[in-house]
Amino acid sequence: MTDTPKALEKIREVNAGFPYTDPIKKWKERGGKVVAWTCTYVPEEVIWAAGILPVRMTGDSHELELEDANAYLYINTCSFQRACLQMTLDKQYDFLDGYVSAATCDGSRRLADVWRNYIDNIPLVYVLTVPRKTTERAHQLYISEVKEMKQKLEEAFKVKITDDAMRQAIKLYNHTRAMLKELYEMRKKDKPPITGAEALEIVNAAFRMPRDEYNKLLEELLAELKDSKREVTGKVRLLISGSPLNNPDFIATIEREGAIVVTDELCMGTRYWWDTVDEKTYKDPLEAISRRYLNNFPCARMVPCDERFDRVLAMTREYRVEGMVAEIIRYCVPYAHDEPMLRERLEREGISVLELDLEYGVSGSGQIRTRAQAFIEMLLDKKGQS
Amino acid sequence: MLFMGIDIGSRGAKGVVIEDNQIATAFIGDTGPESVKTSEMVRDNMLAKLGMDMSKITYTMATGYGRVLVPFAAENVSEISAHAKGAHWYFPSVRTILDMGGQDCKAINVNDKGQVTKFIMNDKCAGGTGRFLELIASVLGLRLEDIGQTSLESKKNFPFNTVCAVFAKSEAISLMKKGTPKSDILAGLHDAIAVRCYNLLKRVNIEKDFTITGGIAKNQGMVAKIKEKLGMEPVLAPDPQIMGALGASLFARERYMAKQNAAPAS
Repeated sequence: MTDTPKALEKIREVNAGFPYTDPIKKWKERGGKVVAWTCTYVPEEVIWAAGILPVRMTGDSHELELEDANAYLYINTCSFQRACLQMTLDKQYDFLDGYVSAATCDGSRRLADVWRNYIDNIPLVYVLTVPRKTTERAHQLYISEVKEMKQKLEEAFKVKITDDAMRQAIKLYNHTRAMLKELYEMRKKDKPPITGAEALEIVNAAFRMPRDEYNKLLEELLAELKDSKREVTGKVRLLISGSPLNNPDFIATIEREGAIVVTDELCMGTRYWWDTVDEKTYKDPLEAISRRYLNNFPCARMVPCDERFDRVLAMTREYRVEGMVAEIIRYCVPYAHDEPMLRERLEREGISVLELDLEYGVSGSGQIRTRAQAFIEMLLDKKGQS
Repeated sequence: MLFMGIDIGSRGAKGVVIEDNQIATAFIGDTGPESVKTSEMVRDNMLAKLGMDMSKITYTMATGYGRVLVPFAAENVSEISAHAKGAHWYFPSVRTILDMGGQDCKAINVNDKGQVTKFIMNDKCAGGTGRFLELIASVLGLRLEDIGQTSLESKKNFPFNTVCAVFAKSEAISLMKKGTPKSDILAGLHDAIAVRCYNLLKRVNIEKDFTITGGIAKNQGMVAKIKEKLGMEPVLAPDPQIMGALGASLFARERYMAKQNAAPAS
C-alpha cells in the first residue's frame, strides 16, 4: 500500500476534532445554527434547506465510562444511545442548537425522551415518528411527519424552508451519494485502493462538516484514488453488518488479522448513502425526500425483514464477499433478533458468519482478535489456502 | 524432526513437543503475570526433560490468549483452530468440541480434515469458566482438583439459577452457613455450568463424536453433568488440557512442511 491520499489526511483532520470539529466551529463562528440527528431516518436535506448545518450525533470512537448516562437510561438501553448521552452530559454537544431524533427503536426514543426532559436547553428537540412498513399509508404518515418537522424547524429558527432550497439540498446530497457509491465501486476490485477502516473514516466525516465542503473532499479523494496505484490486499473478503459503528479501529483490528473488509451493511456505511432521492417523479421536493428515506436500504427495525436480507445477499455477490461479521451491540434488539435469520440465508449461499456481541466503541479486545483470527483461519481452510 | 507448540492460556501455560507423530514431551504450568517469561519457562522445562536445546526444535508455533507474546515462536494460530487440530489428531472421528478454558468456553465443529467449520465463544463473563471454579473451590475450602469428585458424592442437587460469578459466590457462602453439604452445592453449580455449555453447543451442530478439551475436562463431575445434558458420551484424550499446545505443534509441523514444499529445489 502506498501513501495515504491527501484528501484522506484532510478527512482525518476533520475527524480528529470530533465532536466539535473545525468545520463545525467555523460554521458557528459565522453565526450558523447546528442541529444534530442520530438515526438515518431523519431527512438531512430538510435541515440543510433551512440554512442549518445537520450533524450526526454519535458516541466516541472508543469505549466510554457510562456512569452518568446510566443514571438516566436503563443499562439495557444499548451502549450507542448511552454513549451519545454520556457525551452530552459531559458537555461535548453544547454547541448544538437543536436535536432531531426518530422513534425508530426504543433506545433512540428513550435518548430523545431524556433530552426533552433533562437537557432541553436548546430551541428544538423533535422526534419523528417513522413507520415500520413501506406501504402507501405508511408513506403518507411519514410525509406528514416530515412536514411537521419542517414546520418545527421553521418556527424554532424563524426561517422559511422553500421548495427551491430543498431541491438544491437534494442535488447536493445526491451528489454525495453518487460519489460514495463510486468509492464503494472501487472496493469491488481484487485489490481495493482503501481498507474497510478507511472507508468508515471517510463516511464518518460526512456527519461532521458542511455538505458542500465534504463533497469537495470526496471529489478530491476520488480523483486521487483514480490516479493512484494504491492497492490493499487481504486473504479473505468480508462484509460487516449490524448496529451503529463509528470506530475505524474495530474494523482495523479485523483487517490486521489478514482480512479485508470490502463493504458493509451499516447505517454509517451503505445504509446511509445507498438510495438516492428521485429528482423527477415528484412535484413536491418534500415528498421526494420523504419517500427516499422510508424506502432506503432498510434498518433491521423495518418489516418485512426479507427486503434487507435480499439487499445484503445481492451485495455479497456484487462484492464477492466470503464471510460476514455481524457486529451487534448488546441490547440492540432489532439487529440481534434479525441476525439468526440473516445468518441462515447467508449460510445457505455458503457464506460463513462471525457473530460478535459487544459494546459500542470497542476495538481490539483479546476476545475479538481471537474470534476474528479463528474466523479467518476457518475461511482460509474452506478455500484450501491455510 | 521435532516441532513445538506453546499454548499460553489465561490461567494455564501448556507446551507440547512432537516427534515422528508422537508426543515427545509435554508440560503444564501456571500463566504468570508476564507471558514472555511464562512461555520461556514452558519451553525450558520441556527442553530439560528432552535433554536438548532449542536448536533441535525445527519449528515452533504459539496459541492461546498470550499467543503473540511468545518470542521464539515463528507463527501463531488461534486456540480455536489449535484445539480442533489437536482433537482431530487424537480422534479423527470427532466433529464437535467443547473447549472449557480458564476464562472462556468455546463450542467448535470440525470436519474430517481437522478444520474448523463453525465455532462460538461465550461472551465476556467469568461464569462457568476455570476461573469461576477456582473461586468456588476457595470459597468451599477445597482443592480445585477435588471439587469434581466431591460433586459426584452429592445426594441432592442444589439448584442454582445463575452462574454469574458474583451472585453464585455469595449464594454458595450463604448455603455453607446454612449447613448445606459442599457436595450438594458443587453438584448444583456443576449442573448450572453444564446447562450453559449445552446452550453454547446448541449454537453449533452437535454431532458425534464429541470431545471436551481444556483444563475443566479433567473434572469428572463436570464431564458427567455434560454427558447427562447432552445424552452423548464424550471421547476424552489422556490429557485434554494440552490439546491447544498439541494442535499448535501439529500446525508447526504442517506449516514447516508447506514451506519446504513451496521453497524452490536447490
